[in-house]
Amino acid sequence: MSYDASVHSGCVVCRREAGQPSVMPGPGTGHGKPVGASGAPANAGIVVAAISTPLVLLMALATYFTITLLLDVREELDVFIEPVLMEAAANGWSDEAVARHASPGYLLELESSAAAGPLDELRNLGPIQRYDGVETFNVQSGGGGGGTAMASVEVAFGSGERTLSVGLERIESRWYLGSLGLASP
Amino acid sequence: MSSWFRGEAMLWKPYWIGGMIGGFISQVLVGLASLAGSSAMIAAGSTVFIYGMWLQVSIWRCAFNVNNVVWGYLGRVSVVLYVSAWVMLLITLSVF
Repeated sequence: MSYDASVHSGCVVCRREAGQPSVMPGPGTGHGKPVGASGAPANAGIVVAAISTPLVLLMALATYFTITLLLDVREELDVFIEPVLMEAAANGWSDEAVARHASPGYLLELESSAAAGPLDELRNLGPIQRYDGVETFNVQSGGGGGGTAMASVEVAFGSGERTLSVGLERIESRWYLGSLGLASP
Repeated sequence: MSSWFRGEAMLWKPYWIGGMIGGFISQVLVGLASLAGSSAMIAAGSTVFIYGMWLQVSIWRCAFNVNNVVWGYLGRVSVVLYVSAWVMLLITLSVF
């Protein structure tokens, strides 16, 4: 049997008998069924596109909403953290200035001097020259307007740029400081 | 494995051996690298990315080396979704 492309247009069986590269014939690639150069059915591109397009669009939509949500969360954290840090730095990182925005748990640490070490480190850095914003964050929702978060914040001090690690607690839809200190290098 | 890349293997080989077993090994590699530091993480991530793309080309080319053509379509759809997921992950990472 000779291979006649005009008759079978790349039929897999004819290609094999003609000694040309072929694929194993299946129900969809049998004798007389057209295949492309790669062994794919001629309509493979259309079928794959028809199945893939809605799924890719769904993925794109999910990505868009994820990015939007993450940007919103970062902005919300920035809106809380920036004035708190500025106020605390302006007051020399005093316990009183930090305590104004502290969660009940952090308040206890401040009162027992358990948080003194990290605040002492901040006191040695000099005044804040620039707040660069939240770099990375991790939020755990506790439900009912509560939850916790950890944020890495870039800040330029008089002595250089440093990364602060800011713990946050959300109580009744309001953010409070849960911890504060320099991020470990 | 070079026959995978040339599209001469049956689809199940790159899909199951390369995808599932290779994917598991990749995850272990990334997990170990994350313990070793950021440089190792970048090296492992790059290796896994290159391997993943090589495997997707293999799956695409071998897609219709099957007994039932439906598996060929699904194989190629999985490639499109895999590549799309990477593109969207890179877009998300570039925003942050």
